[in-house]
Amino acid sequence: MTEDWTPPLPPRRELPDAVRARLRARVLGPDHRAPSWLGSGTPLAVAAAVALLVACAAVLMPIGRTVQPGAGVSLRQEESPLDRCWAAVVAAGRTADYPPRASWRIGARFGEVAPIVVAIRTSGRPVLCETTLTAVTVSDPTAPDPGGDGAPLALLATSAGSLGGVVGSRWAAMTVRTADQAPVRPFAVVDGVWLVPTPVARARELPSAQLIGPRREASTTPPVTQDEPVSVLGPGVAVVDRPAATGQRTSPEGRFLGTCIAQSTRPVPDPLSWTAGAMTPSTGDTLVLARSGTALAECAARERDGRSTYEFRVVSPSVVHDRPVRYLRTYRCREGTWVVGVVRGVYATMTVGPPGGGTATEVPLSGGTFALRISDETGDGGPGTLPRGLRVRLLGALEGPYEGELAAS
Amino acid sequence: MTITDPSTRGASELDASRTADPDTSLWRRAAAGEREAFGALFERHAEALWNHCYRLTGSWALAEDITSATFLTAWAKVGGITLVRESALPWLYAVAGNIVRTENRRTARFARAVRRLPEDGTAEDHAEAVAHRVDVDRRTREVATAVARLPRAEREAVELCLLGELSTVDAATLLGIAEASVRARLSRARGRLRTLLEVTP
Repeated sequence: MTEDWTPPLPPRRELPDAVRARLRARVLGPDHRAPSWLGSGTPLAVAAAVALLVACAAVLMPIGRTVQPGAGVSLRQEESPLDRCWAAVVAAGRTADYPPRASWRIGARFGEVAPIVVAIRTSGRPVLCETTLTAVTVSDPTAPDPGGDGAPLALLATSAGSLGGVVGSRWAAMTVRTADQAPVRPFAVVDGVWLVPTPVARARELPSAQLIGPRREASTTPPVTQDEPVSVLGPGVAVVDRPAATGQRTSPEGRFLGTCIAQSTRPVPDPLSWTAGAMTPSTGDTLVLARSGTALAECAARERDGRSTYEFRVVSPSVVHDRPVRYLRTYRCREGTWVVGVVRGVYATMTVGPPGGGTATEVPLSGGTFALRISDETGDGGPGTLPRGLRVRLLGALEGPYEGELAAS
Repeated sequence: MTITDPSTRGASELDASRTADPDTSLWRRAAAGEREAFGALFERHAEALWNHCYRLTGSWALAEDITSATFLTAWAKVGGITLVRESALPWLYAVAGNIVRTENRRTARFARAVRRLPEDGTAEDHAEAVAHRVDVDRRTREVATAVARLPRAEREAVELCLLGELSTVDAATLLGIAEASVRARLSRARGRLRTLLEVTP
């Protein structure tokens, strides 16, 4: 029986026209030169080219191609950012300028809640799109093609920190330098499209990029680098599609949040929409939680050598919604150590009791967030960590009481 | 999307290469610098090679890149290679297998220099299609991984004959060994693969 056995193999597929066209362009395209043995004087370094090409293929997620499945692939039905991006194009009356929606496919996506930025493969030029809590920004589809060797163009550069564009397709990777001259970690160029994986502060102020490659270079020789200026182009569509109320900035928490957002070293999406929640004491090191709709963020100040630095960070949405009460972090400041967290919106009051019994204390909730001072010495993981066994009781008008332990995970 | 008959597709590709303008002729003309001849080879074998590369990797994305890399290697080497059989396909399959192994070794090193995009970074917006594809890709990747764990001699035979659906004669010619040796390697490889893939006898 073993002689007849074959491993389970997928059926062969007909080569799609689009794939054949891409292969043809790579193999027989304009970059293809005469073989080196003909002595043409312009030898083709194909053997050298192959190595890096393949190496790149192994680490790049090609734009618009079939996904490599793995543990990180989400099969949940979610609202596609493509729909929201296209709706913005429709709302702006620019559908005639963009490739048809049916041809749009996500090539790369970064971000969980705000900003979410996607590179979109279309039947025409690539499109980049950013969605935040309140707005959508779509790149201009009529931007020029930089060509095989072309310098980078930023098609999407937003105040929320999304940054991406196009560059000559011969480059394998690149990095960008912001106005602060802080280089971003190198990231891949796929089919001439680049997208910075993390939000970039002052994204519209980009003096230069460093291109790494070229793609067709011997693997045995180090990749070459080339500095090029980055031209930043305006977006094709910018629409506020989910207007939100402006968060108040008059209370102490609101004022601190306003300062923290304004001076954050990280870009802040939808800065006006955030409303202050619970806050640790506002002297020296301070942390405030903030809500915008169902989204949650924290903004923290650290004082060093008489100078404060501020950092705003959006919290993963899975943290916010999946439990009645969720511990976020401890925060040590001059007044002691504080535990901050969030409860489901259905609860109105919260009490916390010490481990092993004792009198419970009511903890104020502000927009479903709380800040609770703990003893500096009680943490099980050392000073400043969450003590084990804190008893939480939650009450809500429309929900039965919840009792449980405030746990780190 | 058309799904072709797996039992006939590879054969028809080979048959096509043995008709009007045989691969050997096109190969010689390509070696003389005739781009059109190399283009004809590409058009003839791109689909079969693309499918073969998918079976080697379990990823259509990688299959596309390795297919192009294989043809670029062919273009680089066409002047120094003489086809020993009428079809170029066995040679292309062998080159693709080598590239996949080289790529596997190089991935970790290159990944340190270039940030890898997250695996959940790309997905078409149709969950059902993605789910089906994930199943097929996962199965294919399991087979590819098992094949990669075989001893080299057996692996080469499996890649050519089981994954590539070439005849043992073509494989023997390409590998420079007797056909009986190819059959013996396949027999041993089948046993190992069944164990690796936990197939119940």
